[in-house]
Formats: sequence, C-alpha cells, structure tokens
Amino acid sequence: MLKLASVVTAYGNTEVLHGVSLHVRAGEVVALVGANGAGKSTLLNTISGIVPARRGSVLFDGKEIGRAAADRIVRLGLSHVPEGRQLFGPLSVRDNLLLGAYSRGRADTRAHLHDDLEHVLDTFPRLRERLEQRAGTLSGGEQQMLAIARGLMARPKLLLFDEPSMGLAPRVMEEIFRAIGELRHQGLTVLLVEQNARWALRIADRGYVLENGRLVLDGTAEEMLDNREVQRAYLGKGYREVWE
Amino acid sequence: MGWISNTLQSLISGIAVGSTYAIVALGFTIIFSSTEVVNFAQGEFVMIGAMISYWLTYDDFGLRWPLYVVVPIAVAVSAVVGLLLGWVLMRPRKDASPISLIIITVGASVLLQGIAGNQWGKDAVPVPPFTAVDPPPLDLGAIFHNGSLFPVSVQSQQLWVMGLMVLLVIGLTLFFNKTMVGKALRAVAVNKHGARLVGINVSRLVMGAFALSAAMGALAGAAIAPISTGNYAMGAMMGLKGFAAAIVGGLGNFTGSIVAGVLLGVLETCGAGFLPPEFAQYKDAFAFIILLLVLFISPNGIFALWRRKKAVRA
Ligand SMILES: Nc1ncnc2c1ncn2[C@@H]1O[C@H](COP(=O)(O)OP(=O)(O)OP(=O)(O)O)[C@@H](O)[C@H]1O
Ligand SMILES: [Mg+2]
Repeated sequence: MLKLASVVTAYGNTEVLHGVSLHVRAGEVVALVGANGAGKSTLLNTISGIVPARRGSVLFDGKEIGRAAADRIVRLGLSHVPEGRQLFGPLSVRDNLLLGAYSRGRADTRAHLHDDLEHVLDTFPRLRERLEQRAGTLSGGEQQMLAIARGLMARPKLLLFDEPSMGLAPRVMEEIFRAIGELRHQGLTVLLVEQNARWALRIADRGYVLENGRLVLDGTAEEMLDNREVQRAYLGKGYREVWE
Repeated sequence: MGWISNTLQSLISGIAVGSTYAIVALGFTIIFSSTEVVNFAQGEFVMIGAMISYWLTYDDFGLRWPLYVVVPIAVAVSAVVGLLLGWVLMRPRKDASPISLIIITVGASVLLQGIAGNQWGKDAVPVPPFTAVDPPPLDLGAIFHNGSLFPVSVQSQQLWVMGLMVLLVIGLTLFFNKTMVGKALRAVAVNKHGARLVGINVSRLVMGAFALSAAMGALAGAAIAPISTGNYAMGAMMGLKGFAAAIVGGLGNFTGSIVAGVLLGVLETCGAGFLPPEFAQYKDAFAFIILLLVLFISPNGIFALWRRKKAVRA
C-alpha cells in the first residue's frame, strides 16, 4: 500500500533523511521507532506531502506522491495525525471534525458525513459530550483523541500517527492504543511513530528502527522486542547486561 | 439648538464614512489573519471600485451604463486584481518572510495608483449616487415635540453605505461560521500546518481571501465615492485609515475592526466640526492622532484593554 524507495529529505541544506526505504502492506500496523531527532516526524511529513522528498520515490496505492501537494495526498486516502496535534484551537470540536472531512468535498452527502461523525464519536465517546466546546480547551488526552478522530473523518485507507502517546498519562495512553487497535480491526492500515517502543511494538505487526536519518533495523514485532539492540536502546531493558 | 442639529448631522456622515473604514479594516483583518501579511494595497481596491464606477457611468464614449451593472463589474474587476495579488504573494517560496511580502503589497499599491492616474487623470471625478432621491429631512424633534427642533437631512447614499456595511458584516459572519469554506479559512488563520494536514489547499484559499477583501474594498469605494468623489490617489488615505482602524481594533479582531472603523469616521467628522476653518486640512490627521493614543494606552488595540480587564476580574 505504501512503498518508499531511497527517500532523501532535506531542510534547506541540511539533509535529514539519507535514503529511506520501507513498505507498509494493506491491513498492517507498522511501528517506526527511533531516538529524538532521528527524523521520524520528517519521514511522516515527507509521506504526507508537508515536506517534499528531494530524491527517491514514495508510492501510495501505486501512485507516485513524493512531490505531490499535501491536499492531493489527503484526497488519495492518506491521513496524518501529527506530532503536537495541530488542532484548530478556537474552533469547536464539531468544526474540527467537519474540517477533517474537508478533502472529501461537496461530492459527499451530508448523510455520509453524519454517519462518519457518529462513527468516530462512538470510537471516542468523550468527544461526544464536548462537541460544542472549543478544541483548545480540551485536556491533552481529549485533544489527542480529537486529532485522531479528525484524521479519521477523511476516510483514510492509511493513517500515519506521530507520537500519539506524547505527554499523556498511562491510563489515557491505554485508551488511545485501544482505539488504534480497534481501527486495525476495521481494516485500517497504520504507520505508527512512537517514543514508547514497547507499546508500539505490542500492537504492531512489524517495526523499523530509524537512526540519524537511516533505517538500521527491521523485523516482525516479536523479533524487535527480542532484539538486544532494540532492548538496550529503546526498551530500557538489559541495561546492566550490556555494561557488565 | 443649531449645534444639536450639526452634531447629529456630523454623526450621520461620520458613521457613513466610518462604515467604509470598517470595511477596509475588515479587508486588512481577513488577509492578516490568514497570511500575517499587512496588505498595503488594500486601499487601492476602494479606488478601483470608485474609479470604475465613474468610468463606466460618465465615459466619453457615451456608454452610460446603469449602476446596477457598473457596480458589480467594478467589484468583479477588483476581485480579479485581488486574486492576482494573492497569486503573486503565494508564488515566492513558502519561507518568504511576511516583511518581504508586505513590500510586494506596497509595490502593488504604487503600481495600481500609477495605472489609475494614467487612465483617469489626476482630477477628482464625480460618481453618481445609487439612488437619485434623498429621503425628506428627518426631524428628531418632531417625535417628542410638534415643531422643528433638530432637523437633520440624510443623503440616500449615506443610508446605502451604512446598509451595505451592515449587510456585509452579516454576510461575513454567516460565511465564517456556517460555510465549510469559511471555516476552512478560519482554520488556515489559526493553524496553517493543521489546515494542510486535513487537505486544505492553503494557497488557493488565501487567494480567495484576497479576492474577497478586494471585492469588499471595491464595494466600499463605489458606495462612498458619490459622497466623497473619486480620485486616482484616494486609495492611499483610505488604506491608511482602514489600517488605523484595524490596528485600533486589535489587528485580526473582526468586531474590533468594525467598531474602530465606525468610531474613527465619527471622531474625524465631529472633530472637523470643532476645528477652526483654517485647520480644516488637519482633519485627516485625526485618525492618526487617535491611532497613536490608542497604541500608547493599549498596544494591542482597544479590545485588548477591555479583555485584559475582564481577565483580571475573572
Ligand atoms: N522545519 C525544520 N527545519 C529545519 N530543520 C528541521 C525542521 N524540522 C526538523 N528539523 C531537523 O530535522 C531533524 C529530525 O527532526 P524530526 O522532527 O524529524 O525528528 P524526530 O525523530 O521526529 O524527533 P522527536 O522524537 O524529537 O520528535 C532534527 O535535527 C531537526 O532539528
Ligand atoms: Mg517527531
């Protein structure tokens, strides 16, 4: 469904991704882990067209989108739930959700829109009680739910998540991950970036490790969880064994 | 009792002129909130509206088109010019600083003024009022008292200007709160990154915002010119006054722009009434004295002052 080949991305003269190749098959949940500044967000931004790829190719559903505009990519069925949520703070929760469906245009009927709104509100019941509240006044966890729900309103085939658990208490995090698990049961394909590698690999089928703009490791989630390097660097386990 | 009549008279012309300042200020607000650019060509749209209305009604080829045809044309032409300006501003790389974009708008302003001066000459030109008949003089005194206490005459064009401003404000409020495109424009204003993520084509929407504010400016120009006459250079003063109103209202504040625009018009007209005749030419400086005063007291506009008080109380 998604295939990156030797993707290079740079900000001005600073190259951040030095030839990244990965793929995500339909129906898969793939985790991408890496340290701060490794280029994870940059990778997701390249896929969703926020930052253009300098070189290499990004194929989504067989179409080249490496240099396509962000709005076209959303219309093709790819939603990006970004780092920092990027909600429309002064607008109501309802308007944020409706804007999530902006890319579907007028061709889509009101009835469809209403059904989808009901559907995401069933997934995140906490948002239902706050539909008319300003998005900026929601708690951190609720904002994250809204960001995900807004992404879903575009009816994506592929969802990119950038650190959905950031700054959330364990209990809220659990709720978010339960929702992501639910989405996969509904047949959604997910590429998930997470600092918390243990959580991410628990719900993922496969994983990649990104280091300084290069993929250094990949494998199934179990392989990754068992891998000593991954354990040491990203799971905080076996710290002692390495040093002794 | 003459002074009451005079004051009421000034008040009405002040509100009329102020309505146009308010519309221009709203144009600044719409552009500023979606781009962080202060569009110094905003006043030129007013000029375009006024001059095209003059041109097509009093032209040398004997084309005396009716105003209900002419005004929509003037508004449409201005919208296209606005669209082009928006397009030019969206061309530079996305990391162009607002300052360099603002300089482009200054350039556009100079260019438009040059073209207008060339095309229509430097003299003031007449523009016909929307309706020829003025309402009979209003006598407020007659309501309380049988007799003519404070006679006030209102020009029909003044009613047009005020009415258009009210309609425009209602229309814009509906547009920004009820339509998807209006909400998308607000989304662009509060979070461009978020807007792109949900699939909003930001530069196209910004171009639309330029067209909208240009159309509004032209409408204000066509409406005020029958009162103030048109002139190739009128855009500069209109732009500055509208800008002053936008700043006084707290740049980016919708309600603030409207209130400050009307207030500015009223203060200016009433102020001029109290100035001795030999100082009449300082009337235009009034707006800027008020601007400076407000900025001294509350650098974020009058509404910021009010909001701060409320925050303290809460
Ligand atoms: N807009 C930008 N302009 C210039 N440099 C940037 C920009 N965004 C990111 N970078 C740089 O690119 C590198 C990778 O950043 P990125 O945000 O992709 O990392 P990350 O893996 O998502 O980190 P984190 O885990 O902290 O979110 C960093 O060195 C960062 O400074
Ligand atoms: Mg990141």
